Amino acid sequence: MKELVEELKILIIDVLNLEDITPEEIVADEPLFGEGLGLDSIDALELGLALQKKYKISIDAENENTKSHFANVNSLAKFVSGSCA
Amino acid sequence: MNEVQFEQLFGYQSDQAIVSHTDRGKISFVQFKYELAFVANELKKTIVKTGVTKVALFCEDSYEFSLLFFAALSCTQSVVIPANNKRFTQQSFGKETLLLGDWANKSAFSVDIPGEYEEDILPPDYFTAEIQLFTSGTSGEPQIIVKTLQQLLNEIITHDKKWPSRIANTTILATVSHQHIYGLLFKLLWPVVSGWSFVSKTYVDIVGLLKDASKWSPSVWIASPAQLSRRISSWPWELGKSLTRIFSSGGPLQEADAKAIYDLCGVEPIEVYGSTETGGIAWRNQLRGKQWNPLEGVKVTEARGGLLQVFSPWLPRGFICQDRVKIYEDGSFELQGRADRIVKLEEKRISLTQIESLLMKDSYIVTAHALTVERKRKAIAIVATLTESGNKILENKGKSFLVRQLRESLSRDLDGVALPRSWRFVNEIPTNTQGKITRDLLMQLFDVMPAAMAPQIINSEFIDSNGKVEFTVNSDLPCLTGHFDASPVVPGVVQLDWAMHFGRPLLKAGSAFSHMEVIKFKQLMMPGDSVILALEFNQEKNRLTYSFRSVNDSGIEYSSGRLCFGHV
Repeated sequence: MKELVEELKILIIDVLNLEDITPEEIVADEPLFGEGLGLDSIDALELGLALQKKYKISIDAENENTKSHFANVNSLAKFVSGSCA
Repeated sequence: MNEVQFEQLFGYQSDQAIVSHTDRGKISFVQFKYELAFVANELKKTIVKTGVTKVALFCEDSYEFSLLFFAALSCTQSVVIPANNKRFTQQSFGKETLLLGDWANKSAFSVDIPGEYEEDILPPDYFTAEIQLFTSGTSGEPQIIVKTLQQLLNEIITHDKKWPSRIANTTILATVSHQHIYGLLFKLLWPVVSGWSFVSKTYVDIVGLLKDASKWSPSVWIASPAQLSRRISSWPWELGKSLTRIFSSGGPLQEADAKAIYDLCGVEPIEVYGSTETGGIAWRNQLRGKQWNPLEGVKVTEARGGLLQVFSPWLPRGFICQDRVKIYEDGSFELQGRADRIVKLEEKRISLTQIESLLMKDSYIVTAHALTVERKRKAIAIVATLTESGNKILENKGKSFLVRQLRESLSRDLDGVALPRSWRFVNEIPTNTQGKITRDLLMQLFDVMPAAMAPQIINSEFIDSNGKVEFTVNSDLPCLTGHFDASPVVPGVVQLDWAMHFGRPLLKAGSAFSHMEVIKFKQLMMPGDSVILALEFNQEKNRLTYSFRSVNDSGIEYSSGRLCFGHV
């Protein structure tokens, strides 16, 4: 799980082209959207696409749980590892 | 006479017709009438009690929005439709405005439909209030655009004639919000006027949209380039065959995206060009042609400065847009960019002036210049000079901390898309020999090296004229491919490029590369190596000395040299 968390941080920086941010500076349990890292709705779209492509998982954006999966890097890692299994 | 009768507005042929698919299930026209009557009645009581004449309406759900919207149109004087329900927006209204719908405010009026209805209440006979929408003006302050319901209906009638649905029970599905004019017209007003149904939620998931489009076919997708350009081929696009039309507006759709959507679901996307100020102006289908065709009844002329001037049945008088235009003999036209400092990112109109003036109010910033840069997505970039306190934060807490602070304070006033993503803090804003700040000069500060071409940074430290960057040579760097197959090494020219890339913040503004001196390559740099790049800039001689050394062992040197600059 720890590896996946690190992998996701790099994916986020890479996919969203975040400048000036190193993986260490992304706190795994701080919010990705709104406050915290301050990502926006287009980032959510991009990130969703990248996860679907890389991990071959399907994301149901209409599902209420999806929002909580995308809350922070930790929850995302749990979701990805759960979906891949 | 700005009075619209109930019968003019609602085109449902029977009480059983479906108005909306909501999370409470299907809402028939008869149920809609009851619910509208109930909400209008309750709202009227509140209006009488409080004496307000103006309401501000924000609702996530389009069906709930419709109830509050039509109720408010019947019993208030103006209905304000803001783009968001942020605290800043809420504060801008003041006490004389009643908040309707989803607001972080307990006194907001919201829909609470009881399970049972009194049969004797009737929906409003006519709708009279004005509608206020917002747009970002050239000055940066959001500007209010006032419309009448009749104006909006005039436009709907034109679209309805141009793109009639052959089938009565069409369903409208949207990935855009009704809080903007395009969604208000296409997602909400068009279906109610035509007697079709609309899905009350705004889809974020295209898979869900495609499934519902097929379930409730025939259907129409009200889209924007943001979604049409982000696709995965494994989505069930074949379900899109049940769509009779796809509309796109808010910004230009790439021709390749229009073609891809056609290939995937067999529908040619129709783009509508317009603005909050003007409503719809023209349309195009990029599979048939790149030029825009004015909507029926719309006249387009070229005003002074090559700007587009529009006259239309839904505008009280001619309006000059800030878009430059080239008009062809057949009446079609081509757009040639904005004349003001408004840029469009992901369909959102963003004022560079507003971002600059907000930043310059910040205690960390002296001057700020905003521009757009092309990354994976087009984004806002800032070149700024810092106050003493700003510089202190930069030195003590680092750039990412400062950037985060600035983004957080901007996010109170700006949409997420408008928040700057690239930042350069400089001692002085670069100017050319005439003392002017040009976009080209500012662009030089934004290194063009894509993130994937740079090695994985572990640590970096810049003090005055010196810099130190610690990194590892990750094995997926594109420069390693084929150089060489059996034993990949970092090419010398790439090392020079990295020295230039990481050294750029140390250079004087407006420096131009002139030549290199004493370049030496001593050891092969290979994947997995941990490296320290040391940089020193000599202000007087205007040159950058660099050396790459190994972190481990005796600190062997890979390469070193000097990059020399002249001044433009």
